[in-house]
Amino acid sequence: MSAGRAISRVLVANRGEIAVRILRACREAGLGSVAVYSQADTSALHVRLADHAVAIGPARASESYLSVRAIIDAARAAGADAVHPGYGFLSESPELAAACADAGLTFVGPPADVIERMGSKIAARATAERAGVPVVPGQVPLTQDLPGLLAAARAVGYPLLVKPAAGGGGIGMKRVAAERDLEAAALQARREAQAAFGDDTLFVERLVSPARHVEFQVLADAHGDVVHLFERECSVQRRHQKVIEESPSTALTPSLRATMGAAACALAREAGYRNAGTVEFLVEGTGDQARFFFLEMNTRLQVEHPVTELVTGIDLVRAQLRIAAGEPLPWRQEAITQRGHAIEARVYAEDPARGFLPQSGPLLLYREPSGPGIRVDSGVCEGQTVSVHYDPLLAKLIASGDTREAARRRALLALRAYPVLGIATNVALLTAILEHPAFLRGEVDTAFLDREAEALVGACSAAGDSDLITGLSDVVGQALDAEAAGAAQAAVGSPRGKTAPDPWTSLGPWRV
Amino acid sequence: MAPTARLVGPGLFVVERDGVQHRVYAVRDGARTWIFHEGFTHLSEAARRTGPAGRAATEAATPDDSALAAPMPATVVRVLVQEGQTVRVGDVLVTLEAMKMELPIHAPRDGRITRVRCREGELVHPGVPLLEMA
Repeated sequence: MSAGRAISRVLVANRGEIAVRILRACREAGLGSVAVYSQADTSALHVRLADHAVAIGPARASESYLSVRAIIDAARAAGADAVHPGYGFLSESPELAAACADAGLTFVGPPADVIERMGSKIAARATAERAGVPVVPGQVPLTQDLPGLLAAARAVGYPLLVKPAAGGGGIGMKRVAAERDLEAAALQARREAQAAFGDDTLFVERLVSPARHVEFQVLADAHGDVVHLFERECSVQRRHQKVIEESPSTALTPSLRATMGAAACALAREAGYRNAGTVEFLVEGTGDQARFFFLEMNTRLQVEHPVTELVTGIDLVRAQLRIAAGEPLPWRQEAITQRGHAIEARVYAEDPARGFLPQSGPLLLYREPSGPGIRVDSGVCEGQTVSVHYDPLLAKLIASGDTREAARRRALLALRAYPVLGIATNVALLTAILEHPAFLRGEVDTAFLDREAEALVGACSAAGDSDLITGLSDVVGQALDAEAAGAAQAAVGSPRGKTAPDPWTSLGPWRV
Repeated sequence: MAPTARLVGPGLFVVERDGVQHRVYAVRDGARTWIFHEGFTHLSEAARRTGPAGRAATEAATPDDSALAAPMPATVVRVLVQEGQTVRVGDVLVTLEAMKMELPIHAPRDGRITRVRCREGELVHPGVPLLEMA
């Protein structure tokens, strides 16, 4: 294993908020940066922030952001010596990591064989077992036919989950309550897994429910050193899509935290891991009765990484770049501490009132909140059009404070000052979750949002159409009419036809 | 006293109503107006200004047409029916893809496909019927 070599120019093989985040980190580190973009992203924020920008193909991701060839060609053309994959797209593709190695480019992530091994849930389970890390009781069927599955299912017991060996994101995962439902569930799981991953191998696991989703961030350098950066709790999820994440988790006692952190490091060591990664666990039960099980390992930077950055003070993207350049980890485990609390809320372009349908269209008005303890990682700006082609994540709002309640209040108030107009978003729903009694108590399990979504969305819709808001809407509508009429008059009167309002007359009372 | 609105910045109004100041963001979108207030977004349609009756009429308009149109800009992945084919309510007629999500277009009722107005790979826009049914 090579220890890596110095990096001078990084190609960011991604788009949206994560491309912006990584490009900024490159600039901070004094590294040159290269953005790539599809035809749909010519005016995107990440393209403007890079030192160089290379067009890599049409809007369709499979021919641009998912094309290994296009990425490698762009890196060569722009003189990059490293490739950061971000998350999603090619971040967990062993092909990109291998192609970078072949092309003499440094891949900012683990080696291709590690990505491949941890990408197979069956191989990852075996790695965890070798490392002495508890896994969800489960069975890999001896044969993949129905008798093989039935035998494995009987050994595990019902209710259970049928899961594809490949992939992630909950795709092809089926809950089976009783034996009579197994065959239909397995058929459907196989179809979905084949379509999504090209591999229909299945295995069965006991259903852990209710469960909390708690994951540990790890960093491993090229010299064999591994540390963890504590946990993130991500139990607020809708259909396996995380919505709100926080650190520390309210589900862990100090001793369980220490045990799980050590388990995450042991697993990373056993896997021969390098760079930043996340070990996901399910936690069952609470307090001293709580038990944890390994779920899967994500061999990349996570969407929710800022939560860890805010409680540990460690810049994870910067750490990734250092590790990729062969530098040893500058921190020992004892020096890494968790301070205060951080909560992240994901702002999605989706309409909760219409079945969470993804939204596309122009951001007619878009203003990010700011203030003490508020961080917004976004990939959009006012006037930009949200395209139909990619993930609907617009931005992440991350609030931090001394206590969980302080961080929660900051997140809530910041979302109430986060206008996104022109397309529907989930902002109101995020505020409703942050105010839910179960969230206040820190007692949210992974089924919470699927259980409560309908009631929360209904309450949000009613609040959006309240007498107060419709009243305000009427008053403001008249003011907009008057403004439009005034602007039209000004345009006629002005020789240059200027319609922009003069700030000295339109700003109203102000003080210096 | 009637509420008053003061423009204090681009798209930002301070509305005084019953002695309380409210910060309201507002923007025109054709005939519609988007409003943001304390985390809640409200979209007022021009038709809504005529009162509740006007709003109900808008929503009730041609349910068939809206069911056979893309709910958002999307790419046609598969067209599963041909002109002249009879379909049952709930049958998947067209599969769309938008933002990594597959969106099936279902038959809103039993009937016959009289016209297919989209092709696989085509980018389609909301509100435009993808098919016609008799």
